[in-house]
Amino acid sequence: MTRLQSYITQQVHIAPLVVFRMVFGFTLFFSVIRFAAKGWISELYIEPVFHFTYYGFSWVKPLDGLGMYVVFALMAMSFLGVALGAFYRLSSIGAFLLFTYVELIDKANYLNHYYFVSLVCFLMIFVPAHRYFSLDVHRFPNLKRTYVSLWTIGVFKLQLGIVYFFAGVAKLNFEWLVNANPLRIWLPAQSHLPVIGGLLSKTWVAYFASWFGAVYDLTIPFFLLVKKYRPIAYYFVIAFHISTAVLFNIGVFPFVMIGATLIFFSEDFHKKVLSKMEGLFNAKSVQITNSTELPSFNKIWTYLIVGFFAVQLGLPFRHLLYPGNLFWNEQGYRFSWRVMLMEKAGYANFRIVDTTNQRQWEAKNYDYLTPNQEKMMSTQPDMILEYAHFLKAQAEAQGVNNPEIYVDAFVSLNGELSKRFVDPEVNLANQKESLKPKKWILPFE
Amino acid sequence: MRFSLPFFGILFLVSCQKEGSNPANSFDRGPMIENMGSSVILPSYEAALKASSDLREAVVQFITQSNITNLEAVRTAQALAYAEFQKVSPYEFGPAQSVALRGSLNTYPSDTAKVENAIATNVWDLEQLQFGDARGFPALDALLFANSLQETFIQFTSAPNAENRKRFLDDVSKHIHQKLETVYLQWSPGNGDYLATFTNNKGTDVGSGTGMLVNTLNQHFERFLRDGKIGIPVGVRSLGIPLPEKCEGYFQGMSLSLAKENMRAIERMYNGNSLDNFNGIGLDNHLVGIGAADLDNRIKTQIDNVFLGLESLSDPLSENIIGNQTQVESVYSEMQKLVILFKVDMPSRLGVLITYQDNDGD
Repeated sequence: MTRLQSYITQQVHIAPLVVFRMVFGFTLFFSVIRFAAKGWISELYIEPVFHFTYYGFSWVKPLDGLGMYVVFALMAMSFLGVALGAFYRLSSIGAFLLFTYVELIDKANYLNHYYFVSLVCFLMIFVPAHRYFSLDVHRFPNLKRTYVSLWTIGVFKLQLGIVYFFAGVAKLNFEWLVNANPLRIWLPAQSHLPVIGGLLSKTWVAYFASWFGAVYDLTIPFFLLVKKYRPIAYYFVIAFHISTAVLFNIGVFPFVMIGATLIFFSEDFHKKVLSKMEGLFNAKSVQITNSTELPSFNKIWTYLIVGFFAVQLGLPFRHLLYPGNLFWNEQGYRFSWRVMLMEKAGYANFRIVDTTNQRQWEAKNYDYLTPNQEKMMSTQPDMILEYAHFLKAQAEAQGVNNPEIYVDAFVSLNGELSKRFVDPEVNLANQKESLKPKKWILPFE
Repeated sequence: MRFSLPFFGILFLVSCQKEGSNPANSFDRGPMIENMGSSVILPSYEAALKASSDLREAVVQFITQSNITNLEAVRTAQALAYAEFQKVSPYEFGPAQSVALRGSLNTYPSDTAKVENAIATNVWDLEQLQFGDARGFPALDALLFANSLQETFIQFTSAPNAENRKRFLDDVSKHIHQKLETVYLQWSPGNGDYLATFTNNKGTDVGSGTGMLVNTLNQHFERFLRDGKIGIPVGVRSLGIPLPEKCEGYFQGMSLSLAKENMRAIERMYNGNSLDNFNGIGLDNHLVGIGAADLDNRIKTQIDNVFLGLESLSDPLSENIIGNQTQVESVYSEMQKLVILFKVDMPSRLGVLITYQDNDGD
């Protein structure tokens, strides 16, 4: 234990952490601006009349009126604060809380990458990334430190390693490796692209991309750790993420990953980056080489951070507690780095029955749900159930006593013909949401 | 890993070989959207515009020479133009979307009280959103067909506000014609040439020709045909209570023939056939081209089932809804089955993103 402790507290140069702070902060700052510019604040958080909540977090609600705009404005400022190292603790805590709050509002908007951002924001709170080349140091030169404990940089490498490695583990499944699904569907759909278009409709390319993706994800963290392979590995990082950016509609995240992965580089590399930037801004480096280890590595933090990673290592395996095909029933699917693993589409038509007169009618999903919410709901049982309960409340508000809610749901997985997804005879109004297996999901096959 | 890699390697080779015997997994979407644009969509707009010009002429004729024969001619021209409009209403993207063509010309049922009030006060502005349900074909339906031919003639000639009524009729028909003309000119190669924009974007994302085609096909079929023309009037959205007065073209009693015309447009959107039914390259060929002939068969069978269902009903649909609600509901169910094939199966096979929203993806 003491050897481990002395290993993780050994003093290393702060430069990688500082560069990471700036890259992460600025990318997310621009990402928030882009989000706002696309009108998504209103589209995703103000216009919808209904939100899909996370288990245990149904109390998280969006704010009314201008509230959400204020949240996003503060979030953008927080990320900027992180990037510049200005009011760093406040900024990093703000970034974590605001970003995570927004993500918790509606799980229809869940993305693995958003989850990644929340996790990194959490870690940012605990590291002294602002104590060099920052506005905070500019204002309070006493804050300046050149050396930090190894763990403050190591946690980000571990975090990125977990993302890649688990994304790779998730690809080790029959559909991905043996049938090259879903890339076999997605790549030919891009065959109009110049230069590479012709290749994309070839089946072998889908196989190559699937296998390459799996090997890449599983091994890239290890290659990045070894100095000898690092430059070539980083070329692969760039090539991999750029090709996903070209082929798929995944926003800024390829760039977040390309930037974040820089943390694997040596401190010399980062020192060079910083000295270039110092030259650029003509910043005077006040040389106070106080190398006191910071922050003090006390027990509570140790437990917190060990627990933080332990949970992440466990979550991707919780699906083993549920019967059936994971891709079909999606029980234990989220928070597991299952990124772009399947082509899934569905349609759920809800029937409401008034038992007093046996009258039956249907819910107009598009009146209550945005297209994206409806699309997400149609293939995910927990969301189908939550929406069914919402419809029950709606019917009761219309004066129907004890309405029964049934769903005719059909799902297509990886381009197969659609199949019935949920038992149409089960009254969803009576089913309680829990983490137990949902018996009303019909088995795949 | 030592065991699993060679194992998967062998499986990989086996499945590659199996694949070799299959037909090519590729399809050139270029000719498909080109055919859709120039042989289906553009001629459909042309036909709708032509019919609305005829309607304009009939209205002008009636206003200058107000006799009952000319009023009857207006009625006929309106019915024709309404039917021709069904050919283009699904294409609510690009130019049609920017003028909100479908909502401007066909929000029904129209608010008859609003129409009468406008005529009585002699105040209206058809471009205003508040006139959304007091303009277009549904307003004409109410103006021309709510009463008998004789009564209508009196309303337009000797009743109080007859002159206002004529002017309102004139404006509504002008508004219809002008919207259709704007959209047609935006599409046509001599003018806005949206046709080129449409056919040049050969991808499958939200803004591509194929993406817009598949998305608007779904949106229209689900909301405006299945729900608007059948589901809502028969009561599937209203606690099971039928609402026959919500039928399209309620007063003129041609809801079913309008629905059939619209369904033919949906069919063309899928199979790429021209207005005079020449076989063209459509989404059906796309499915076959990527090895999904089974799905194409299913969709075609289901389209036939929908037509069979519609044939089993008769106009006026509003009377069918009251007298034979179960039969109308069964047509709704057939449409529902087609929604699943269109919205779930087809986009999954084509790799087309089904969303009317842009997002960050996974």
